[in-house]
Amino acid sequence: MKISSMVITLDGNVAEISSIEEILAEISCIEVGQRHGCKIPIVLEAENESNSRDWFHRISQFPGVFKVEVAFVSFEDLNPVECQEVESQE
Amino acid sequence: MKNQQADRRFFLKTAAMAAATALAAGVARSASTTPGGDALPVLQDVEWNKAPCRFCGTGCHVQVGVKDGKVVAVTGDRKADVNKGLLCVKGYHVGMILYGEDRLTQPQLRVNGKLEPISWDKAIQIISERIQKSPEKFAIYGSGQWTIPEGYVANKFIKAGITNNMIDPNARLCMASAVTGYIGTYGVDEPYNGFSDLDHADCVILWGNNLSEMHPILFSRYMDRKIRGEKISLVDMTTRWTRTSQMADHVLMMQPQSDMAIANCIANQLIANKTYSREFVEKYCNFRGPDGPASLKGVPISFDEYQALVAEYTPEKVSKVSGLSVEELTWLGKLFGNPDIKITSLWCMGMNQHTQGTAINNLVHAIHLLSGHWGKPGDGPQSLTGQPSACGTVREVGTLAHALPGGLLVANPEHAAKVEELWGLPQGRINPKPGYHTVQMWEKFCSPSEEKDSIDTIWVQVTNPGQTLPNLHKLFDPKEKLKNKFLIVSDVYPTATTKLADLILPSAMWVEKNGVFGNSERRTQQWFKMVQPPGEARDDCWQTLAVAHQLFLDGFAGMKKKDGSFLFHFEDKNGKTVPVWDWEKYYDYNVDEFLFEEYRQFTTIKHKNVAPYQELVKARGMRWPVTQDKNGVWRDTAYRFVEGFDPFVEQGKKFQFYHSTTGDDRAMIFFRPYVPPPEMPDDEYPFWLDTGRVLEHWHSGTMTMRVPPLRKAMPSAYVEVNNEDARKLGIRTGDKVKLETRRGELQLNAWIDGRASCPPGHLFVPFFDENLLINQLTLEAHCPISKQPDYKKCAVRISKVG
Repeated sequence: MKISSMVITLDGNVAEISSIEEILAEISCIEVGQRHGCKIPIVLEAENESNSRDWFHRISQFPGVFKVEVAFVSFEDLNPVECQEVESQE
Repeated sequence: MKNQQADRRFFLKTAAMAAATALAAGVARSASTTPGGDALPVLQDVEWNKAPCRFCGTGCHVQVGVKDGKVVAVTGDRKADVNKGLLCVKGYHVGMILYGEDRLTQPQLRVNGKLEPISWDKAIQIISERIQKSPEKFAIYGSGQWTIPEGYVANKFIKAGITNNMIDPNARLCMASAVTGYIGTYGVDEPYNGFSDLDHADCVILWGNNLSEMHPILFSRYMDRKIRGEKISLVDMTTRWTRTSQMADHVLMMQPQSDMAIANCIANQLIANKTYSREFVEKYCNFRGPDGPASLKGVPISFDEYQALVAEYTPEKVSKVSGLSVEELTWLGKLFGNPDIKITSLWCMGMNQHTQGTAINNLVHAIHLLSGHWGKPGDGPQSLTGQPSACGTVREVGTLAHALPGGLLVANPEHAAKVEELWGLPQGRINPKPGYHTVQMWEKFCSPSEEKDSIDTIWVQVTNPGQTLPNLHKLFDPKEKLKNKFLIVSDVYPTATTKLADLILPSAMWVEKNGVFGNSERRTQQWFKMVQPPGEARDDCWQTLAVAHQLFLDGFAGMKKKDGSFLFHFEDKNGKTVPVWDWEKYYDYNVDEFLFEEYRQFTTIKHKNVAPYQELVKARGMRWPVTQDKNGVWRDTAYRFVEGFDPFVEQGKKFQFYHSTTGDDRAMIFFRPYVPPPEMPDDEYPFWLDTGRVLEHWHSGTMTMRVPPLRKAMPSAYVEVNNEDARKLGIRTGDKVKLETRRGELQLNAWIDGRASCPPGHLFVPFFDENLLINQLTLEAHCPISKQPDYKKCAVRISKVG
């Protein structure tokens, strides 16, 4: 499991529109943080490095997203199955 | 165990969100937000330490998280002025470059065509014997990715030890024209300004520079201001439509090489419209004209002569050469003629990889000086570099064939004497004859050994010439059949260069060793070793020191100082000799610090004072000149030659070019005429071929092709074809096509209107793919002054295969 966080910058023209946050919030592997102006912090929990990279690009292509920059990346392997099991037990 | 993992996952996510939230909040306030706060993710058992990113010349700082001897996390460094905690997509993957499956882990010698493992002792002995056999035929080919201590050791090894000056770096291929441009104009190399210009400019002009993909974090600094609604505009002067063009306010699609005519046209208009800065010019500038194609310093001309020379570059005439409309050229003239705005010009390979690279660098400096758009924050010209230490290791340490550390020259007797004094050498040890520049070095290596002045042995460090040299069929491939040639390659992965290597040495990389880089804005950046290199891989710096010591033991005179001691003799604080050649004890000491402090002495000679090593340990890079204020605090310099910023400018001078080539504190405004490219499309080869980089891959792809997500995102090279041309030729995206130039041919897939698009008659191919070597087709023609080749334009034909 790869965990990373990013800062999404919205296009100036759509910075006041909140739909992008709603779209992001519906994606299970993304956690959306508090928006600051046209900047939205997110945490991405992807299955592997390739998946992480794919999400990076998909988010970059979302309407209204101007750019995505990286704040933090973890390369540690966290077994996703085991993590899910723990979650369900909790 | 499961609960531990759940906790860890929770902590990681919390830490990740905290890092991103802090940045979003900080950056949202202002692009010029003062960086600060440690605010490192709190993760159990993870130790954080700072390092500059391994990739481009921007010099973003990252915090590297290490656990159990392995890099496990990377975060942007919030204390770093350059990137303010953010990273681009390549920085995202920088921690993974260490862990490709095919790292080189032991020395290998080619025996009867096959590589066989050998010991380090044997490898060192082989190199030493090879040098002693014919030292005059030995050369080092280095890199803008060398750390400063690595480059310093290699430079001293060659200039003081071997004494043939046969050392040149790959940076000759990427920024040599910027060097000569700065020296011709200001009398001394490197930008006077820095990235903070992007926080102050009203207009940013890109001269053939795809900033959004090549220097994404710098582009972000511009775009953050734009998005916040600040009045700032972007002019993209380009030969192809790129992602940068998509964001630009004005896209000026020019013909290759016509940047020279455009710059002269701006100068002409400034004078004709009387909108040049008469006060700035009269107080701070002299004029220079050409006295031949290879004249670095030019000849004096008067303002009237300059006016007459640029007069022919009317918008009407230049429109025909450049492809820009008269209106666009007139608009540019008015833009520079407006004293109420601040203009930042940026450039990189588009201007530097140019057969008139020095000239176009001079010309862009000239229009800024002439218009007075110079010396104020946000108002000036700046060259960007593509490698992390092209400035630090190549330009400042002087690893070019003609240079010595600190901006000194081998051919200058006073400089040579000073170097001999500082290195403890006998008088006359420094050879005044420059060695071969890169193209010449590889021509001589690919020439028969019997030829006079041939090079027989090259030691390549931290670079991949088998992929990046131009015209590879001429400058690299012949080596295979020349039996007396010996190629030594120190690298981290197998490359196009190691394919022909006779001896391969496995190197440590990035945070597997101590290091110091120097970025594009004179910022010197230090880091410590954080993890062990794999197998028997060792520091490049140690490799050179070990060979030097072997030569010393074998009695090679050049490796002795005049007192008979070892050329790289250092003593610890107890007066005990530091065994820099002994790998087992190498990290008992900080060898980098000894080397850097010795090097630092040179930097004070031409006002390039770098900070003491221990100050760099505390900082996120410091821009030289770094001097102590009256309270003993070390201060770096945002703007050179500008009073109030540069401590070496005398009070009341306002601007002082204290290394002026005319000795009167003035900068040079050059006239350089437009010169057509050496090869242009014709009936036989009707297209232009441009080569360059892509976002996912860094240079020859040695590191980024080992990062699976990057390789997956861009697995192979392609040729970018204009939609209309493709239709005429019956080519669709994905079709196999053949490109042919006078030097070679290559088959690859077409990409039409993909990420970028070429205008009709133009093709673009990236050079990252070692299986599709586009440099078999490029031209080795180079700038007569800087000797930097032009990878951006040659004639090519294209046909569909099958």
